[in-house]
Amino acid sequence: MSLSIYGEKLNSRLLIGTALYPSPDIMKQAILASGSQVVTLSLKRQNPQEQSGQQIWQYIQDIVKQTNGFLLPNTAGCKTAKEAFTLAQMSRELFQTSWLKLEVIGDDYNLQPDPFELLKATEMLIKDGFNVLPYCTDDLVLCQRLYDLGCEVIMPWASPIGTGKGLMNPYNLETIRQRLPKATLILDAGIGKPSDACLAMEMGYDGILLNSAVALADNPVLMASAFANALTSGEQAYQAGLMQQRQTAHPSTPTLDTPFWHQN
Amino acid sequence: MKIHINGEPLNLENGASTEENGKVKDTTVADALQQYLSQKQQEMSFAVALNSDFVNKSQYANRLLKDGDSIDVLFPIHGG
Repeated sequence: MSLSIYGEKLNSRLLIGTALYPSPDIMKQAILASGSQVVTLSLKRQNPQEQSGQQIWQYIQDIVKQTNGFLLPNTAGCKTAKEAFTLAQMSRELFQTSWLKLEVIGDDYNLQPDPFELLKATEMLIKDGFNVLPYCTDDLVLCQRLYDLGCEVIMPWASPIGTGKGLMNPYNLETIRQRLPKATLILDAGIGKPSDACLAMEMGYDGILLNSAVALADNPVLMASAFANALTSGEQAYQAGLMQQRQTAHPSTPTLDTPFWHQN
Repeated sequence: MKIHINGEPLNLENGASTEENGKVKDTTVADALQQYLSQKQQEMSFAVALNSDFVNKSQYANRLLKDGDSIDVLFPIHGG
């Protein structure tokens, strides 16, 4: 089943990061194995002698060409709306895309998004023509405000970036899904295991954005494939409709005409 | 003229303006980039901000610099 992001149809519901892999070659193999058509990347300072970024950029361009995919630049490291706005404009010129994974961090310890600066930045960017994919906390009212500002896609966290702790607060995430049925919801950050991704898809999330869970696996290429399977499994389960949980046991096998040992 | 590029101090050789064929030529973002970046980097993909405001590529040769200005030159890098 396809995922639609700002009018672009994608074959995979997985969005994947390009950082932390053991090598650029493994990054490329893993992303291809994941089936993802959206890769995240960033912009950083580089001194005049350094050229390692150029090699990564070349790899990322190759991947996008090979997958018929899309770049999703982020604003990692920004702490104010103004910083994020400038970095977004730089990204748009360089990467030739109006898509933006908007990150505005409010706390250095757990890299928690700053909801107030995030809203301010979102408003500025939408006015300037960006298609914003905001990375936010799992707060219903914040997600609602982002949606009201015009974000078609909203990306609440599962848990802090890079922790691999999975879905910290499933109740919040389920509530956001139920209350924003028309928003495209992508769970971003904190995914550790394929079963985490599967759980979010079973809740009806539209996609998953992850990086560390694949890049830091012992075998990133195999893990990328495991995540692709988990997403498919979770999505199919959501479409199939899960059974209602019950408080008491119900026998699966018919109780009528049971054999002789129950007859007395 | 002293400016900062990517947090490093840079003395621009030409100063704020220089004379070229009898005409005064002001120092621009393009001049600073030419002095700071290696030849190879100048051919690479990058984006520029001046005093925390984005500068469109088409404006590099027109945006004038003054003492104390701060330029950021950013390159693509992996990210999550």
